[in-house]
Amino acid sequence: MFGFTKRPLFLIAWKNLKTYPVRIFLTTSSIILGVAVIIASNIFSESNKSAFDNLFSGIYEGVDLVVQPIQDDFAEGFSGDGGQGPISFDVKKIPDNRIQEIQDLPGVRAAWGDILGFAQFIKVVDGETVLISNGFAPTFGAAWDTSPYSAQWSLIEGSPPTNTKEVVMDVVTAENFDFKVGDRVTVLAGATPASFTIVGIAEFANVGAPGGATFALFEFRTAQKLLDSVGEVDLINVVIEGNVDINEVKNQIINLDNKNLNVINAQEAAAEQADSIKQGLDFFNTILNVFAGIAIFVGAFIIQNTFRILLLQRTKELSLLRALGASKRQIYRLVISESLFMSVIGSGLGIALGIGLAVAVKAGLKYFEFGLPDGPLVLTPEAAIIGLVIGITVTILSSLLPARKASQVSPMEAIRDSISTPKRKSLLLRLVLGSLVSVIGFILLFGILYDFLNLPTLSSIQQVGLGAGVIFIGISIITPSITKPFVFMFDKLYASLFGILGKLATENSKRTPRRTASTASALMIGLTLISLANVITTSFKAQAESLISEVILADYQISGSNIFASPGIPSGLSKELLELDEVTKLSRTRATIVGYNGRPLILGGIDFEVFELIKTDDISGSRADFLNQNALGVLKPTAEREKINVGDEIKLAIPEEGERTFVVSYIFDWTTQPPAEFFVLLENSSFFTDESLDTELYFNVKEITPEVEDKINLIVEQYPGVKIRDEDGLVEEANNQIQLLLNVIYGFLSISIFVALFGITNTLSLSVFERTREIGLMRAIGTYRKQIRNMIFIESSIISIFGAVLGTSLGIFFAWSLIQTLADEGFTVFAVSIPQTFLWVGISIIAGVIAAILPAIRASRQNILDAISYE
Amino acid sequence: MEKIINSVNLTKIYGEKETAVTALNNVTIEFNKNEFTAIMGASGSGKSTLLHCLAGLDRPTSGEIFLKGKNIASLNDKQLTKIRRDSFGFIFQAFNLIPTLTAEENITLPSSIAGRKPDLEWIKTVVNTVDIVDRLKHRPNELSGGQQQRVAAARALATKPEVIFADEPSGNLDSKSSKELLTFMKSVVRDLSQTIIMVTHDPIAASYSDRVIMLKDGAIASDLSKPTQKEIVAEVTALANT
Repeated sequence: MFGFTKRPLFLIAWKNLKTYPVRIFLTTSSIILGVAVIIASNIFSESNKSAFDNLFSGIYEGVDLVVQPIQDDFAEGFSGDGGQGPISFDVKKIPDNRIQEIQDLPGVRAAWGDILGFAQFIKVVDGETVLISNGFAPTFGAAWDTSPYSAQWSLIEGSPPTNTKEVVMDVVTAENFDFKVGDRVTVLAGATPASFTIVGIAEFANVGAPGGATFALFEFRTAQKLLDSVGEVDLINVVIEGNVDINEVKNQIINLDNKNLNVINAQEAAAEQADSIKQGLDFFNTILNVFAGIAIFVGAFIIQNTFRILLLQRTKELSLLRALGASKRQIYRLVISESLFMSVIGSGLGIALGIGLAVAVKAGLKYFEFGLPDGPLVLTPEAAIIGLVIGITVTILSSLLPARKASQVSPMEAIRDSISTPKRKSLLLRLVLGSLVSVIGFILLFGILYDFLNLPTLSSIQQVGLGAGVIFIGISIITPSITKPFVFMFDKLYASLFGILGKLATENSKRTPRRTASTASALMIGLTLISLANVITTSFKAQAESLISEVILADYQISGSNIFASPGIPSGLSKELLELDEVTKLSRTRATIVGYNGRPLILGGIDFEVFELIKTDDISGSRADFLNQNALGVLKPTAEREKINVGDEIKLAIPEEGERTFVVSYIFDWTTQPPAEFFVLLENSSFFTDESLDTELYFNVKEITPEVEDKINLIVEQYPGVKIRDEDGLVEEANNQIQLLLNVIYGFLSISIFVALFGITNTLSLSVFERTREIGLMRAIGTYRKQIRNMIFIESSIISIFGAVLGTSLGIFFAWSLIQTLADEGFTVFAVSIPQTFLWVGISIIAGVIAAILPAIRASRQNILDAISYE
Repeated sequence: MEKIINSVNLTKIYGEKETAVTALNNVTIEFNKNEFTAIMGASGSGKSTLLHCLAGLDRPTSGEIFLKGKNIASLNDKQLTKIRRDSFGFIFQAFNLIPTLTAEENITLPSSIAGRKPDLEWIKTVVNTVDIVDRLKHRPNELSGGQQQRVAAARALATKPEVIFADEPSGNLDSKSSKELLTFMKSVVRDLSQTIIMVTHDPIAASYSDRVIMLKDGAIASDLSKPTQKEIVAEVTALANT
């Protein structure tokens, strides 16, 4: 019956864990969360990568070669589809008679043309026009491929489009917006919307949805007409015979017109396009990993704290082992073994939770129609291993110090009756060391701000970041020594608010300053980052607000509703607005790509009125000269970069016009986001035709009244895909974008607060445990259970206020420093949102109280007799 | 003599079935107002259990406890807590004081918890009687064991309770401090008209009391009125041998 084991301590470690599963949970909760975030972000980006792989191989499914037009050199960087996006410019296409020529080449089994352009489904719901798109994903129009070899689209139901009034819709859009075969739908393609009958619903290749984009598929000739490709196609897909050399076919096609045709291998193209998107996803993944890192960093604090707490509670047990003859080294190993078990279990749970989190995030994004391609979730072995290694390493490293301390336990402890409290070490050393580190941080930070210390090789922002990091470490070291003075400030307030319970709670926080401080520190990290993000964004908002009212002099601005998807503003809108008596001034903005010294630049066409509607600064030349024929306006940064001066002659390659010479007459600064680098007056330029689309309109009215607004809105409503905003609208829009970003950051940072809460729970549990007798005594002499609970809640609130106040102050200070360094970039406004700041401090306090619920209940249920009996 | 607290058929059984231990077996007893009663008995006789049940710290398995005629055995935790706070005072063997509070704060703790202003005149009298005036601003760890117990006694008295329960109050004290504390307790009953019920195993301590009740195996074995120390020792010895 008596088993003999060579590794008794390993066995004890394992038994301990089996007996106390709560311990595992308390200790590893932070590791579980940290690992979960790493895993989730990894799964998420890997899955998206594989989905994009599928998407792009889907696009070229079954195709061997792709024939593309060679673009003008300068337009190469903008290769895309004509008319897509706010900048309309002409992209070269392939004459559609080439399809037959290629088809007739030996070795070619099939050839068919693709047309891709912009088309927008429009739905009218209760009289409201709704533009159909999945978030920011583009909206496409394309030709329905009739070739039997084409595998891009396959019909799920209905039939292919056969005439100018029929359209096939992609299945995701049909499902999301509830369209059926036979429904009528309005499609905006080209300048005017038209009505179509949905004759079919189609699925994209093998992925279901092409990256969230919506697709309107037209009959070939109709597509050519609607998508600005009459007699042309964007590219030609080629399938070759099985027994021919692919390169031979390739050369034959190029030889048809080697000046204008480029042939690429379809599979290479798929990989290339997928790669460029994956790089973007990697960036996103990096950000997620940074947040996971923060959570784990906070977690390390908590683990160390929790280990110390658990070991203190087990002092008797460990000292009994020592009394029975276990060596210090064995105790050390026992604790490390336990942490090893815990770390493996914790990391494992973390991976499981991470998978769950990824599923949830994916479902969430799908719900908000974020427009990422569908596909299975992928957990790579690398990700799992990284998660495990990080989880295990951090846990074990965090347990080293507590383990060492536990191994120092005297065998006498087992015999002693009282619960030992740790000896108080002087906090003076900490204060000195921490102050020293902080001072170094402040020197680094102020050195760059006030120009007395400028570290080489570091940019201003990097030096400020370094300084802030060093200050943070310094403050973390100091916190235990400032716990008492800090809590001291609360003595009076709490005593008057909560009476004797407040007094007891403040005293208890001061009792173990080290523990109070390290618990608060965990919260401090999260709050520092949150208030940093908060102040920076509040400042940016204030900046945007002052900037917008300063530089936009117009009463209204009109732009495309979705800069990624809409083609621009039909020219009819500006004409109709000008016909209104109330409209006093109006300026149109257009843009096109031109070649300058063989490179692409954006040339803007503007009305002269723009100078009264947008604030511009004269640099040199004169505005009056800009009225001249062939006059060119140049933005200040471009002029400086290209060394252009007033009077210079500049040659620009204009699409379909060839080279034209302009005279630089006016160099100026556009104080908002400039629409172009070179400018001409619209009235002087023949290449912006009447049919060209406007990118932006600015206009003033005599007086802003509800009647005028109604009149304007009536006109604008006829143009789907454009939106009108007044100054408040512009400010609000800028603010919304910043707020969205802030909310995402808040979301991730709340994880670190969540982790810190476990720390508060652990600390209070220990506090309660250590004060068993005290609490029992209080109960005996007539303290209600509720009062005991309140006392613990008050104590918790002190810890969280401590952490929140320190964190918030540091965050505001860091934000201020950061904005100082950005002054050169034009950021001058430093604004703190008082309500937001108090909101987060409030959230921390509430969270602290929630974290105290379990310890408080435990304290209030303490058996009085256990606490006071000595027998 | 007016009775202040009494028990009727008080029974306390710990554990269940085979492991059940009867700590109190049908104890019916009355305690008088303005009297210093000592409860004695060997380890396991049930003396502490009797005190805990009377004081509302532990719940009897069956039977009644009446405080001034009101049954308190069936009260819920909140009601019992209120009675402990307002009607009882406590002196325990050790750990009587909250370490983070000063002596003065400890003395007024029951009033503070109740959210009441302490009766300062009365507390002054009490503090003078226990002779700790100059230690009031000190924390427990700056007081001697005897001083700590005297502060505890002052706290027990501070609310003018109906009954003060003392559980081996002198158990951890040297003989000099012990004598001072017990003398003080005796004077509190005599001069300040208080009622004290004290558990002790020490015949010397018991000899300060007006009445000594001896328990054996959870039942009352004898009830002595104003016994001398010798009589007590004789009775303890007799009981141990039966």
